[in-house]
Amino acid sequence: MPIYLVFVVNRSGGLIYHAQFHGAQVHPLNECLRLASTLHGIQQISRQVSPVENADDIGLVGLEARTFRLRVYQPPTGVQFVVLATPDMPDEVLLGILRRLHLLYADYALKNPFYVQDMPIRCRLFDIHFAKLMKPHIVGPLE
Amino acid sequence: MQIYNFYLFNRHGNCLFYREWQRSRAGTDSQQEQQNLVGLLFAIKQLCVSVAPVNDDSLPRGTRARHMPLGPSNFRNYTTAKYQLHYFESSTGLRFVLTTSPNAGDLTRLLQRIYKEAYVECAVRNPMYRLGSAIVSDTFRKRVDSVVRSLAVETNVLRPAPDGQGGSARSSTKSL
Repeated sequence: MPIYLVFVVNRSGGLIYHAQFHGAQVHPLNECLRLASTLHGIQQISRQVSPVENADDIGLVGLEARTFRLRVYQPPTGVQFVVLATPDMPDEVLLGILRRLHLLYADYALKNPFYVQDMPIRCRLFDIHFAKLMKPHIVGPLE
Repeated sequence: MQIYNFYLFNRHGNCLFYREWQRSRAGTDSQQEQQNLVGLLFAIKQLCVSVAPVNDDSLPRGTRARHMPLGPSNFRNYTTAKYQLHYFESSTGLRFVLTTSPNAGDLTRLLQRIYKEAYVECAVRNPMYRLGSAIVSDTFRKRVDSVVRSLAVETNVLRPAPDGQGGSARSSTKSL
């Protein structure tokens, strides 16, 4: 039950970090940017079409398809952590990974004095710890 | 579990049928809402094609995000904190959409039953029905209600439909 794809998306729908692993379709960077902003748009509309009152709802947080599932974790700051995995991956596991990822973001991106908020994450320590976090859950690097 | 509403769209995105049960937030403009929903489903479908893993056999070989595959997508449902939307698309492009409270599980089977037991029986086989027009048939509405009700009976929660379609009219014909 591997993970295919990880996105970190900023408050305005811009992609600031992404990783693709074995099994995912290979996308060029521009395509990944487009996907991230599409997801952002989908979330906004999913709030609008809600049949129930949803004042504090952030919109779509989970999506299931026949061959994969997608989970979104959004802390109150509005930055989004998105993971795509096989459908048999339990929700708690995915949420756990996303929470850990949030910690890494806080520790190694936000606390980095050279990192500018909402800009792409290019921090060596973040990369190292991200690789450690993902290792047990992926089959291998992208082919 | 609560069941909020149901939409049936054809492949052009026109709403053929709409029904609501326990919806609590009144829509301001139903037509606008339906258009938003169709756009949303289109975007989700495209997203699902783009991010699907390579071993996905529902994609034609060499598919990339630019190409929208014909036929049903592999999208099943999405969840927000407040509701869950279930989706089933037939090969002919009909989209069945049902919204419920979250954690309802996979309701694809139920939507397939609506297709089989309501749409095929009461719309396609109705000689007066013109394909692609809105479904106004009372029988269709009752069929949809009864399929959805069977789910509610299984999960043990249901308030009657707003117009009070009780099951009390059922009389025993066996005794005749």
